[in-house]
Amino acid sequence: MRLKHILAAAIFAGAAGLSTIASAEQLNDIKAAGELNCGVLTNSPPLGFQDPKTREPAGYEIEICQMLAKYLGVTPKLTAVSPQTRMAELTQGRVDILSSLLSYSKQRAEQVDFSGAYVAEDFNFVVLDKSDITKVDDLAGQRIGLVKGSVLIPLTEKRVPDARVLSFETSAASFLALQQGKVKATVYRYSEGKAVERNAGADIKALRFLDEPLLSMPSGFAFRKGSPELVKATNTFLAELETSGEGQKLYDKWLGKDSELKAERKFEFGKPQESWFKE
Amino acid sequence: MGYQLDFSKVLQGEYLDLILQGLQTTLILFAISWVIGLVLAVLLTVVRAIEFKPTQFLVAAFVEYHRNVPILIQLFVWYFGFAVVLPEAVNDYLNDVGAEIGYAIVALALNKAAYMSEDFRSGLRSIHPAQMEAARSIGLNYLGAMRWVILPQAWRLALPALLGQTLILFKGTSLAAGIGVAELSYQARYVEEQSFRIFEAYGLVTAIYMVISFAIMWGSSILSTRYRLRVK
Repeated sequence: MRLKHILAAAIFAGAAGLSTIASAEQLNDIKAAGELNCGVLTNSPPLGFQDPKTREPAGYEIEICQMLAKYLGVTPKLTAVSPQTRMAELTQGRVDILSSLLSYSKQRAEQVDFSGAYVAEDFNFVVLDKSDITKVDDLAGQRIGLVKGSVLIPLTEKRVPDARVLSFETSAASFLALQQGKVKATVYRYSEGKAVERNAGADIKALRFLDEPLLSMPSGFAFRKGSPELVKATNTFLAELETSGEGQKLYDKWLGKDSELKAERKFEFGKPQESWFKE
Repeated sequence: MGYQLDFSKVLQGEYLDLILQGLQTTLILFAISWVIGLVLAVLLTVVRAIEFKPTQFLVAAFVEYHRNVPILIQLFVWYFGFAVVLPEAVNDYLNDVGAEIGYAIVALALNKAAYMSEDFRSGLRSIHPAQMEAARSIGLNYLGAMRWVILPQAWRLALPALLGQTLILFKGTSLAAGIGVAELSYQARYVEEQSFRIFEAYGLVTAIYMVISFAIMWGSSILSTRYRLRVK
């Protein structure tokens, strides 16, 4: 019994030793190692997903991280992370940088550093195409379905104070309520709304996005605290994407005119994310 | 940096209004479902007592479905499933008048009817067949024997179980939050999300549930003692 404990302790100590994080400037470590380890999502098309043909991760966020590695003069390495664990994977040093749709928030900013935005997506009200609602103000007095605990609930109530918000357990239940006319509208991120339409099949009642966005949500790279040089280099890289037109090309390929989504770019590469959240 | 308990936030203004509205909805849901459930339970018991195999089978199937499927699923079946078979015009009308609470009442009432009818049946079955024979032998016909001898004992025997079901129904109303009925637990969650006062919101609602549950239990014990069978 004692021996087991000692062995376990030894293994833990060894593992801890291996994963010790150098607290010095990370940019030097990355250049020395010749590798940038990006934490990416693998189930959020078109931002980060498994390419069914090559079985390799692909997508907007993956390509932008590869471009960043090239800019820093190192080779990119991709590590799959999940939305629930991504912050821990970064702070515990399993990845160097997150490229996984992480939006700025005050609480998060206490734990990690953020780059400027490399993507921003609008959230819009979605109604059934056949409904007579044409603008957000038409939703006054109507029922709007959302998911319990969503940050969109208070925002919706602020924007349409007379509407009745019903919250459901899951996104699927809220979608079904919209299909059955139990609610007149819901709110989707643009790419999410398109994905829902695609996944739900051809026999659903067509959806329609209302023009005026409820909010726009940026995402950018995230870093461990204490590497100002790396953050600075990344922000310079993003600013160059904006000026050189490379950023627009990348956007068009995955989200814009050359993609299924046909979304329109409404953000600047490298714009500080905090500026979205100023009231 | 400890969490300071502060009930003042949830005990005033809009939050308190929401919780009181939730309480009202919970009580309406509870009362209407209970009454409909009890009436249906009596009907089911009578139908099942008739010696006719097909109807007995139907009642048995009804009871088994409601006893073996989680109530939340039953709520979903009514709320999302039933709409599929109704014409669109009827659906639109129902959605305008408040489909959530309507379907919640239907689902809870049917569920309770199944359980309560079983309680009645147990009460009937626990009376010795010899009592029926004795009642008939002193000249009462079947209905008379039921009315004067069997039922006065049977309902008393079923009473504790029925009161238990009443308490279970009261707590079960909280499941209606799953289909968007703005009852007490739904509002508790909403207030918690808006105010970030988790302990206070749920603490207050827990207290409300407990007070009413204890009142039901207290009433139950009084009724059970009052109507206990002295002779069996």
